Amino acid sequence: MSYEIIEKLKKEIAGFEDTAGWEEVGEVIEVADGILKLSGLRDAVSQEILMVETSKGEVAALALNLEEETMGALVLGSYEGISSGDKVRRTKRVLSLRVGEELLGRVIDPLGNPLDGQGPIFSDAASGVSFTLERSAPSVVERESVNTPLHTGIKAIDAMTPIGRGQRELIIGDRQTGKTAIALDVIINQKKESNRPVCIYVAIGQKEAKIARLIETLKEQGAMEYSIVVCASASTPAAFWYLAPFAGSSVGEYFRDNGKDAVVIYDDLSKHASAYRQISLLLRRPPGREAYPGDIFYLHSRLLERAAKLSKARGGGSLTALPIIETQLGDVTAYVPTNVISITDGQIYLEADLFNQGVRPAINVGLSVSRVGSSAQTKAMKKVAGKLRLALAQFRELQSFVQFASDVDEATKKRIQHGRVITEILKQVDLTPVPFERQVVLFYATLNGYFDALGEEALRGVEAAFMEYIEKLHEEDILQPIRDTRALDDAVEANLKEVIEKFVDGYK
Amino acid sequence: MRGTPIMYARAFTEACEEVPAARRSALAAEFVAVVRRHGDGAKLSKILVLVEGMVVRSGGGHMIRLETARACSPQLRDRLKKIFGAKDRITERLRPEILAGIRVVVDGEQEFDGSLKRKLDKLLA
Repeated sequence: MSYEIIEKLKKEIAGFEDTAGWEEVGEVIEVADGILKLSGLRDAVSQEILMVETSKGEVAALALNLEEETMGALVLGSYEGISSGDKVRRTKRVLSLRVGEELLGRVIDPLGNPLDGQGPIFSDAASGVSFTLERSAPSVVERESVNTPLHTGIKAIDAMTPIGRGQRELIIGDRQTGKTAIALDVIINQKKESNRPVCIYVAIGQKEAKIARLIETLKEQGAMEYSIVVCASASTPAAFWYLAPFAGSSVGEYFRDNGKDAVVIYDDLSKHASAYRQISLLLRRPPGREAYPGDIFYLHSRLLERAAKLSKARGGGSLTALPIIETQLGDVTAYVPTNVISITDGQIYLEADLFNQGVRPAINVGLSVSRVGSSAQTKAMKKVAGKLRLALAQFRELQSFVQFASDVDEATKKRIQHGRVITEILKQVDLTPVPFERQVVLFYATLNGYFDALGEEALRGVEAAFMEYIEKLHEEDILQPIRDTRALDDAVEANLKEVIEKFVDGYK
Repeated sequence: MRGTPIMYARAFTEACEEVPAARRSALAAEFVAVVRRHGDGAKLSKILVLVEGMVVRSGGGHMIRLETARACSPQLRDRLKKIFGAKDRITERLRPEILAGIRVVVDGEQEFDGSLKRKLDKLLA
């Protein structure tokens, strides 16, 4: 056996041809917290992968700052073994990762390496396509306006701040207000969608335990099969936090460019901004407001511009971006939140006060908007939920007014009761997304005042009872036509009226 | 403002060109004092290496660094020196990890790697 191995080795060596040549090299001048200062490598390009030869093996670095005499590079890995004087060589490759269908159901790091212990992602070198992390956004002619809804399964969002495929909708709020829960519900709700988008969850600086819990939930709900998790956890270097959203976007672009729909969730861009601030300060770039570098706006705008609905000529695919921003004590006027608010096509604002009052999801309807999603809303939803925002606004106004007045007239009392019913119906617990056709039916009953006469006790259970009633007895004559036509025609509406009246009589 | 080694080295070589040869040793002493006064005394060794490189290059030569696994014999050293020009400044560095062969680095930017380590790395890759 050993003889065979030796013979094989001899053959390999005999066939080995190697001619040494001149190569461009550089040297490490300084090492500090994952940042390298290098000399030499005059022809290296920005975003090029460099290899540092250390005493413990080779470490990759990313060329970032190209200066007159030196270069600033970001270490992509452990920087403990790097010392001043180490040799650095070019690879002539710009930072990229391999993408393909094989990524579905996998957990990867921002460089495309698997983290889920399920072995290599791509079976051979030929499978998968190499996508650079920094890619330019589609041009104006390559896009078309958002016209298809992305149903989130969250009643308050689908009815009042609808999201379209290819849109960028910000989820913003303080810590522990349910931002990730909304993102998770969006992913889970796609399971029953007919044209199911691929969901990419990008974890930036999150605790490993939280990410593990999230992956477990996705698996339990059967959502992992159409999802990809790009993970840059709290224990990874800032370089990975900085690269993670770009990697997630590149993965999404692969599906978008192949005519499919994809949703990418960046959880969260506040930590991404902090990581970029750390890198920039270590690279000695001049600090600006809140010590962020001058290009922090461009960092997020170029990332979010990659979300688009492509024209039919380009395949008609879409990439929807749902960035998350964590505010401090509800301050939406801080630097990064205002930047991202202005870049995105709307925001879902979660309020800690509402959350503490038991309103879940704690969406502040007044501050939440969707600038383009309403054009993608289904006809059925538009028809039934058109009055919802106004009814809620009137209720809020009256509610604050009656706090100071003891006597109110009958009409006002009715309006307040109607508002209370709407608020109760909009409440929704985690991991229970509601398909759009059921939302249509529920909002029809609610907004037409069918539940207004119910008492507080009865109101709490009415949604579950009503949904059960409709699903069991009227799946084919009500839910199915709405799902298929995406509209609420007169015949179905008349039938629905009758069904609701019958249900309410029985429920009382 | 504290300067970088390259800024100091460039300033010193430019100053050297402007003053007569007789004043250069005094200039060097003044330069060292200025660097220390700016709190950059620790950078002096780096500055010296850079100045040496600038002087050699301005004279039309190159900084050549020869890296070998073991110390070169005097005969081999002479043979290697003959390959390069008289204006070139040749330094040697022991790098046992290259196992055998030689690496030649020119001006810290171009490298010819004729080491056994590179061959083995390529063979086993």
